[in-house]
Amino acid sequence: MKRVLTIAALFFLLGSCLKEPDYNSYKVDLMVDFGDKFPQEQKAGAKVTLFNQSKAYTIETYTDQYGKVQLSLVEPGFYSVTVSYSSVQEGIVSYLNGLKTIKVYGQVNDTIKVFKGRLAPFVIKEFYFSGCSTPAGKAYSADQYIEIVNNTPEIQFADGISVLEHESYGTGTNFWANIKDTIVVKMIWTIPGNGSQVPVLPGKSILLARNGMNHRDDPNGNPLSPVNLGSANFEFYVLKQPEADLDSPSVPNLIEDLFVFRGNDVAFHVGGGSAIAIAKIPGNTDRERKEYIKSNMVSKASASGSNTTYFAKIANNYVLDAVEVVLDEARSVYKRFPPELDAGYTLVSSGSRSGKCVRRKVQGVINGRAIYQDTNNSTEDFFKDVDPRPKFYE
Amino acid sequence: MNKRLVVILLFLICRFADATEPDAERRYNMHSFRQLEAGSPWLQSNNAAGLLQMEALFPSELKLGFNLNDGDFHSVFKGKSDQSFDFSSQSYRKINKIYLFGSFGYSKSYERELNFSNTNDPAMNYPYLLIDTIGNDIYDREFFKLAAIISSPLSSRLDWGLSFDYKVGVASQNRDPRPENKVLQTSISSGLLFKTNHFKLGANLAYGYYNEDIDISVVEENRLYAMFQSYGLGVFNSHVSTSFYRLYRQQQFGGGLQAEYKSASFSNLLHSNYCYSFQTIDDGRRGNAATWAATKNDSRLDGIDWDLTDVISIDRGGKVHKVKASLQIVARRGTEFIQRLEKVNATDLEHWITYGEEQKYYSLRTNAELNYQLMVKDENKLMKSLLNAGLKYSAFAEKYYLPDNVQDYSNLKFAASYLKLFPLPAASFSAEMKLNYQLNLDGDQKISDENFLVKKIFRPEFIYLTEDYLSPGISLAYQVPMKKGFDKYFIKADFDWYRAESGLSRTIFGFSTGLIF
Repeated sequence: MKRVLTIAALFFLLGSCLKEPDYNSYKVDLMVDFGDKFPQEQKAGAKVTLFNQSKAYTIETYTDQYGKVQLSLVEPGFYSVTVSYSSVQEGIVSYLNGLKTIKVYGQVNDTIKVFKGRLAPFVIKEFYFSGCSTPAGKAYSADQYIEIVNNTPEIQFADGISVLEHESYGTGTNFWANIKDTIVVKMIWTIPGNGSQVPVLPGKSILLARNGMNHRDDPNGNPLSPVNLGSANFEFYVLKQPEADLDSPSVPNLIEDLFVFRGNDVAFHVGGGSAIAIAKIPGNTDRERKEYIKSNMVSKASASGSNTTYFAKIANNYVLDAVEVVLDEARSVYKRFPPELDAGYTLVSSGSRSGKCVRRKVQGVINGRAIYQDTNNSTEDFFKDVDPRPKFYE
Repeated sequence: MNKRLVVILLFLICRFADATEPDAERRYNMHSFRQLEAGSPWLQSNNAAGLLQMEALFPSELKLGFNLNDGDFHSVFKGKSDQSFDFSSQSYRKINKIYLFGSFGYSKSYERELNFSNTNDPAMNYPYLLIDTIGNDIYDREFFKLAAIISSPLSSRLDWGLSFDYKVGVASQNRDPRPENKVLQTSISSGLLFKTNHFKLGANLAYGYYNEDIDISVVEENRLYAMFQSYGLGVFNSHVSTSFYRLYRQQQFGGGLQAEYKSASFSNLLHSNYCYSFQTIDDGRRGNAATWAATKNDSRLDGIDWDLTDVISIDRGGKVHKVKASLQIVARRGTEFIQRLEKVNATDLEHWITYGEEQKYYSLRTNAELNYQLMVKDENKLMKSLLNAGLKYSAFAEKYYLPDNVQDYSNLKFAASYLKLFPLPAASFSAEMKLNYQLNLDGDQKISDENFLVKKIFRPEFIYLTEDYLSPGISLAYQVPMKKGFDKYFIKADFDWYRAESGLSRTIFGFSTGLIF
C-alpha cells in the first residue's frame, strides 16, 4: 500500500511541473545604405525605428559611425523598419528616408537603402477620409477632403496640380512594383487654370472637397459631420446624366482627367486604403495633360482574365508629394509608393466613421507662417487620428 | 435567459424531489449542510463515489439570499460594489442504496463601478484579459447553476459515482463600450471506490469545459473606444473600434486518487487531484473590424492544477477532531501567436496566417495550508458547535519574457472561526465569530515599461495583493420549527469587514432565508 501511495504521489508531483517558457529572441543587424557618395563621417546618428506590427510597440536606435545598428533580444515577429536622417549643408536641410519590412524568425542581417527626399512647394496638409455617421446611424462620407498647403516662403500657383489615387487599396502585394520610377493610379483630378490663376500665399492652403458645402447645416449634409466645407476652393464633381453628384454652385469643380471606376461620386476608402499623391503632370493645357495620361496607360487583367482594366502610370519625377495611407498596421507591408516619395505610411486607426483624419505636423512657425514637416516619411510627418481642421493655420 | 429553460430546470428539480424518499426523522437544522461539509472529508475529494461515505444526513434546503459587497479594498479587476440576489435549492437523498445530491441556483447580480474588465471572471482568464479603460461600468449578471451527484455500490467492495456541474449565464455592461459575455461552464466526473476492512482506495477521472463568448458593441454614433488585450504584466495590444469579438475556450482533463485508512475512531484520508487545462483565446477581427469571418488566434494558456490533501479525523462521538494539511500547486504557461492578415488562395479573402508561436508567460502559485477543526455534536448527532483555526501560506510568482517583467509575493493568512448553536424553548439561535488576518511576507514587482496599463492596473493590483489586512466577521442565524410540510424555517445574516493597512476597507453583508427539510 505504501509503495502504491509513494508512486502515486511522485507521479502527481512530477506531473504538476509545467515547463517554463521556451521563448526565442534574435539578433538583428541592419546596415543603412546611404549610397556610395555619402560621406563616411556623416553616417552616424540616423534614426532607425523597428515597429512590431503585432503588438504595436517600437524599438528606437541610431546608427553608428559605419551606418550600422545592432539589436539583440528582439522578439520574433514582423517589423516595419524606418530610417530617417536629416542633415544641414550650407543652410539647406535635406532628408534621407528608408523603409523595409523584416521578418524576425532567426538572426537578421539586412540592408536598408535610403533615398533623398525632395522638398516640394505644395504638400498634403490634411486628408480626411474616414467619414462619420448620421443621427440615423448611417454611414456618411460626403464630407471627405484633401487640403494642400504652400510650404514655401513665396506665392505658388496651384492650377495644374493633380490629385492622384493609387490603383490599389493596399490589401495585397503591389501589382505594379516592377514598373520602376512610376506610380500607377486609378484617379486623376486636376485644379483648373493656366498656371497663374490659383495663387496660394505662403503657408496658406487650398481645400479640395468631395462636396463643397457646410455639411453640418446643409439639408443634404449631416449634422454630425465634423466639418464645414462651404469654403472649399474646389470640389470633386462627377458629371452624369441624370445628375447623381451634388454640385455646389459656390465651389468650382476639379477637372476629371481619369476616373477608372467611375461611380456617381468620388469616394476615398473610409477605412484608409486610399494612398494619394499630388503631381504636376506634363502639359501646358488640359488637352496636353490628358494626352500625356492617355499615352501612359497600363493594363491589368481581372483575376478570371475575362476583362482588362486600364490605369495611368505617372513618373515619380512629376509627383510633388505622396501619402501612403494604409487600412491598418498589418497591411503596411503592402506598400505602394516607393521610399523616395513616401518612406513611411500613416493611418486612422480609429477606422471608418470615426470622424478622424491624418494631419501633417508643423515643424515651426516663422514670421507667422507655419513650416510643415516634409521628410518624405509620412510615419514621421503626420499625426494620426486627429480631428479634422480644414483651413486652420497654426 | 430563456424562460423555457427555467421552467425545464424547475420541473427537473421537482421531479428529483419527488423521486426521493422522505426522511422520517426530520432532524435537520440550518447548519446541516455545513455539518456535512465539515464532517465528510470524502465530499471534498472530488470522487463522486465518495458520496456514499458521507455522514448519514440527507437534508434539503430552499433558500433566498441577498449579498452586498462594498468598499474600496478590492482587486482592480472588480467593481467597488457587488449586489446579488439568489435563489437556490439543494438536497441530499438516499433511495435504497443509491445516494443522490442535486442543487439548483439562480443568481442576479450587479457589479458597480467596474473600471478595467470586460471578462466575466478575470481570475479565470488571467493574464489574457480584455480591458477597456472607460470606468464606472455596471456588470449585470444572470446565471443558472445545476449540479448533481449520484453514487451507488456496485458490489460489497466497490462503489461507483458520477457528478455533473453546469453553469450558464450572461453578463453585460450598461455603458459604451458594452460587452455581452455569454458564459458556459460544465464538468463531469466519474469515480470508483474500492473498500476493504480498514482501507479504501478511490480513483476518479474528470473533464471540464468553459466557454466565454464576448461581443462588445458601441451604441453611441461616431464613438470609438480603445480595447486593450493584455498579455500580462503590462504587455498589451490595443484596437480602436466600435466593436470587438473574443472567444475564450478551455478544456480540462484530470483525475484524482484517494486512500483512506480507518480504524475505530481514527481515520486518515489522503487525496490528490491533478488537472491539465488549456485555454485558447481567439479574436474575431479583420484588422480593426470585428467579424468572425477572420479568426485571429491571440493566445493560449496551458495550466496544471495539482493538490495533495491529508485529513486526519478522530471521531469520539460527541466530538470530532479533524486536522487537515494541504498543498496546492497551480502553474500557467502562456503562448502568443504571431499571425499576419493575408490574402489566400484564389478567392483573395483575407485570413490570419500563423508564422509562429512564442511562449511568453509563466506563473506559479503555491498554497500550503494547515487547519484544525473541532465539531461538537448533540445527542441527535447534529452539530452544536464548530471551531476552526487555520494557517495558510500562499506564494505567487509570474514572469513575462521579453520584455522581462516579473512579479512575486507571498502571504501568510490566519483564519479562525467559532460557531455555536443556542437552543431556545421553541426555536434555536446560532452565532459565529470569524477572524481573518493576512500578513504579507514579501513582494517584488519589476516591470520595465511604465505604460498606461501598468500605472492603472498592475501597480495598484500588486498593492492590493500584498497588503496586510484584518477581517473580523459575525454570522447570526435563527430557526423555528414548522408544523406542516417543512422541517425548519431559518433566517441568517452575515457581516464581514475588511480593513487594510492602507486604511481601505470593504464590508460584506449577506442575508438569507429559507426552509430546511
